[in-house]
Amino acid sequence: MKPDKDVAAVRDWLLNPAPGVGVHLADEGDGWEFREYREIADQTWAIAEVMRAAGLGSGDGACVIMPTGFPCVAAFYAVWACGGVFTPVAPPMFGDLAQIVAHIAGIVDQANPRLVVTSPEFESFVREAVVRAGRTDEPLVIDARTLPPAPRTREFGAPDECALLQFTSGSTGSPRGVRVSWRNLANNIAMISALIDWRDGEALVSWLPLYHDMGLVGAFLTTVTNQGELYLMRPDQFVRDPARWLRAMSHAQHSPSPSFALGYVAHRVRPEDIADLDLSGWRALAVGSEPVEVADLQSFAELTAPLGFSRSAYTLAYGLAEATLMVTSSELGRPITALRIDNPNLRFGQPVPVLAEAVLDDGHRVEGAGWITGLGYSTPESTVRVVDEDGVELPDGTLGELVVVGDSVAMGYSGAAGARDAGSSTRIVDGLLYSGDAGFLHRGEVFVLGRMGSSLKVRGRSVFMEDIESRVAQETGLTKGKLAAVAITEAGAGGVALFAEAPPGEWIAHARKVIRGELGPAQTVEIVTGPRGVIRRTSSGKPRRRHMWQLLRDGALEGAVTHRVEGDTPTGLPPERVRELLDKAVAAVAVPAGSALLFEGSLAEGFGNEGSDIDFLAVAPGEDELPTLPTVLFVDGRRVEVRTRSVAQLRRQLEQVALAPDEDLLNRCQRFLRATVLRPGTVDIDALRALLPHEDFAGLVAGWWTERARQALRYAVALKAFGVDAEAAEWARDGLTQAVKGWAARRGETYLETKWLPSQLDRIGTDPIVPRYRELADPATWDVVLAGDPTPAGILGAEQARALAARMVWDQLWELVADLGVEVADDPHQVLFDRRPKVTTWSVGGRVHVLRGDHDVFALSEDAAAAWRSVVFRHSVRDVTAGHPGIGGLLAEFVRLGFVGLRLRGGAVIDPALAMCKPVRPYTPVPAALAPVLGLTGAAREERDVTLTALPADRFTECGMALVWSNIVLENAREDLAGAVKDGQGAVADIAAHRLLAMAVRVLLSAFGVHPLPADVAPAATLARLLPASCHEQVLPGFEAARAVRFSTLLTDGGDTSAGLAALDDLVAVVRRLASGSEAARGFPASFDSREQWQRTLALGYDWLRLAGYLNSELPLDEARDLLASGGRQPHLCEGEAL
Amino acid sequence: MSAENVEAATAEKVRRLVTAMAPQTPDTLADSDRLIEDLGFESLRLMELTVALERAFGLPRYRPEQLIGVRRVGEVIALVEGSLSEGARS
Repeated sequence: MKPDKDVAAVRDWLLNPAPGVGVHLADEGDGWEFREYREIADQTWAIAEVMRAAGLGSGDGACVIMPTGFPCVAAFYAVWACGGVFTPVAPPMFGDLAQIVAHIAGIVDQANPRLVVTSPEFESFVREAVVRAGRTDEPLVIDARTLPPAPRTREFGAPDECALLQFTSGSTGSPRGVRVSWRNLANNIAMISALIDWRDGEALVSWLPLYHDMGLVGAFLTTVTNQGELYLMRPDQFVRDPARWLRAMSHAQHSPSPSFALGYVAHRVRPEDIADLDLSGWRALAVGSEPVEVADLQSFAELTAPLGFSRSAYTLAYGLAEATLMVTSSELGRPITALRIDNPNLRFGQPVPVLAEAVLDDGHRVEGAGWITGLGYSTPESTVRVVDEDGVELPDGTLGELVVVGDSVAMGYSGAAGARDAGSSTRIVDGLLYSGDAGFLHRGEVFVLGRMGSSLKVRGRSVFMEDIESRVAQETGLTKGKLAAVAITEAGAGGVALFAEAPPGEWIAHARKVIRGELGPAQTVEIVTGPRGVIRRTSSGKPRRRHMWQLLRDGALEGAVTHRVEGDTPTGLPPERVRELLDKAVAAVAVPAGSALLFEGSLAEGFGNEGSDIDFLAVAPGEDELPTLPTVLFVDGRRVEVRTRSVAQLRRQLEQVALAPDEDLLNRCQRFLRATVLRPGTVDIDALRALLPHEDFAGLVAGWWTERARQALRYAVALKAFGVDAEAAEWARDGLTQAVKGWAARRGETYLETKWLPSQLDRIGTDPIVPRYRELADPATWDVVLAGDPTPAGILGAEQARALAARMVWDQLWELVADLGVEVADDPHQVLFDRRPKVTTWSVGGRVHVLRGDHDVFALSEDAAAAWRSVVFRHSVRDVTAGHPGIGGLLAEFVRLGFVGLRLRGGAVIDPALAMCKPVRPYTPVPAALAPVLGLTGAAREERDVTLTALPADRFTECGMALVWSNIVLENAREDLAGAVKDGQGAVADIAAHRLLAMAVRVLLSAFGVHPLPADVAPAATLARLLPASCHEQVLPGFEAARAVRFSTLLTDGGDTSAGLAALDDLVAVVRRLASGSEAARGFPASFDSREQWQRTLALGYDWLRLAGYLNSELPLDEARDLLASGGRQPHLCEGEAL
Repeated sequence: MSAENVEAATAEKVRRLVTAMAPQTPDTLADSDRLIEDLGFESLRLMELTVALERAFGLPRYRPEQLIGVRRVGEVIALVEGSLSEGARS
């Protein structure tokens, strides 16, 4: 292509270098070697001649691998002078030379350049690498001492669109070259210059490596393009003397730095070493290249603030090589946004739980862990979006993958690396850069949490999980296919979790060491072992790293055992450490004289981990009643519990457990029987233990678990017959776990809690039961049972296959249950419906209500009522479900709610409990938030099968009774009123109207659940006070209008009485409409209009009365009692008189 | 001290320094132990080790090129011994 303004921006200085300024290179002492840009340009053109002579033409590639120095700087630009595509390669240091050579060969192979350029120092191993890459050419060795003089004619070669092929530190086996265009470079350099507000005559200091995006683009190219003063150190020079960087900064304005280096400086540099420096001219400190740690920022600012450094110089950046470098960065001079994130509750695609928000500047700091900082806002040149796994944009505040759009997004990847894009976490698709970084926007500002599972930034360097797996496999002899490493990126807590489908062993310590070597000390290393299948994979066999980590954190990775700490083998704490902790604990607790001291609980049993409590039991001689509550101490960062029991108390427990075992008692006895005696005291522990030999105790535990397993499994049988598969599967799996606990107890593994079952099974060793259980305990095994119905059209075969597979899983479960010695048949005909005490059914106006515990009132939908009528006590679940297809879901809900119980045919009530839980009790749903809460036909219902009324049963009934009665009296008053008006009895009419209004108030209040009722005064004010504001407009004007009607005045003055009656009728209509709620259509029977209406009124009243009679509720009138007594008939009506 | 004894003393001093600075301390340090894989050194710590060695033995500053391929404890010992004998010759 033709040179354009972007190309010119980057390289035209070579023809017109700024006079008097240049590069200061740190020398091997403590000084700097200075060269003007003019001299550098001369050397560049000299090298360009050599490169051209070696065949480098326009658009040709050149890999440059040289030690940091002026020839290296000149060689970089010489490639561009020739119009070539430049690839910097990192100079090596410590390490395995064979690996170094292989790495360079990998890059040369990928980049496939016209020239490989190096220096005399590196010649030998670069030559080796070139050969290994399969090339026959010689590397071009640039020796500064033998360069020709700078040529007089200086002509640029025509550029290619691509300027830079930048290799990211991609996994060892597959380096990835990012193709960066001239346009990308010019744009990104302009963005950075604007961000740090670069001014003519300024200087920048950098110790970052030149082959890395931040050191190359952010420091070197930006300064050279601006023709500013550049102070350049090597990383090793920075580590040797970090204060050298600060000393250089006393005459510079800008510097980039990774976050960790700031903390490192604060740790290494003493204030007195730099006391004479003036850092007040430091205008921009760009922090990037890895997660920014608030602690680093704060400690660096504390060291340097006395020298004039201001936190307003911080600009915190997000960037990556695929975006040339910079994406966004926080603005200079503005406070930094810090958010504290609730890490354990972070979920991809979900809102980010923010615990706190703060600003950081010279006057504000934050304390504690979990803070992350804002990295600035999108700009038109560089925009960040957040998307979900399907690439759909997510709203502000939601965790997703960051996607970058803009002029800095690179052209793509070179060669074969491009073809691998699909499987990589970072990829460029249609100009969109999918960063592979997890993050979110918070009020538009970019926050980055880090890589999504497949790699981890450690001190600016990417560590790839694939490499970790290779290294561990190589070092431990495990197959790589049985390993999956997951990068953990949480705010302030990074690390690696390695999942292995292998039994724990000595390899764990070895693997941990290997990973530590890759990560350095600041990161956490967790090793998780588990059975085959613990590593979840995609259909193409790639580990689903982030998914596994999520499952582990949710406790949903069955069979997984986490080994957290160095030396954390199942043998737990070393004994001397335990004694040390005991000494410290006993010093703080009053233990009765002569007590024996025991170490008990999970750690004593050989389970546990770093987070487990350390439990000591002091057994005191004698008969004292010692408190049950343990004393909790915190010793050396561990939680330590000390419990005291007297010999008499323990003896009682050991005797009782045989008679009436329950969970707590079994747990107490188990811990005592299996505890380690640390100090015998004067107590005869052996004699106590002889009361219940462990073998006998194991039998008790086994029997207890087995009975619980039976209950849970029978419950699962019923749920399965109801068709609630997910619930049935979970109960069955839990029942199986309890059965296995019983089985393990018979083999001496009596530790009661289920949390260490995987370790218990490991100890039992190779028994065919164990792998069978592990497979069935894995939720993934049950996916087939729970898979949703596939689309019906044409794939009946697939559905049958699914059903068959599901059937097989169930069958395997019941076979294993049988082999464990738990005799439960998968037969719903053996499970009967059973009446539960204090559950009664009431119909009011045809609506079915279930009264539970004489307290909770449930209203059933029509469907639910029909299903409820199908339940016949003592009939089997099989028969009822078979006779009424489609009601299984409702039956399950009746069971959950405790409307009906279950019983084994010819046996006891089924009383299921999940492991480590109390038996399930009937649950209580959310009460209906309905107003009015009831109507004449009973409780108001929501659009659901079963609605729990907000009122307790007695008030519900009393309100219902009052509602019926006030309606009747209201009707009566209306008829009195009509008669009085007709006969011109003004005073009588006014009394009747008053009564009518009072009853209308009662109707409304009763429907809204008010009972007892207030006095019948000031109707409008009473209603305004008691009813929800939303009803006021509906009823209050009507009451005002009705109150204003004076029939005596109207009759005297010959006014319009029919208008007065209409005002009252309107009010009654409004009241009844409101009080009837959603049942307006059925309305209240106008009770005195006809016999038929009166009969309906009586029938309704009688329905309420029966319920009131059952509950012994207060009745509104004596007459009601008669009606109840007469069974709903009118007492004086002749027999046979039809109504 | 004989030349052999001097060498043995140098080697022992290097081993002590490496052990003291290793992120993962081995039970017994072998000359075949790898700095990165076995002892947990990463690049920053390796550079710190270099500075510690220079100071302990009064050596001139190493340039990065001189450290290429130094992988095992034995190679660190050889590096230091080489530098010491070079210093003695010059």
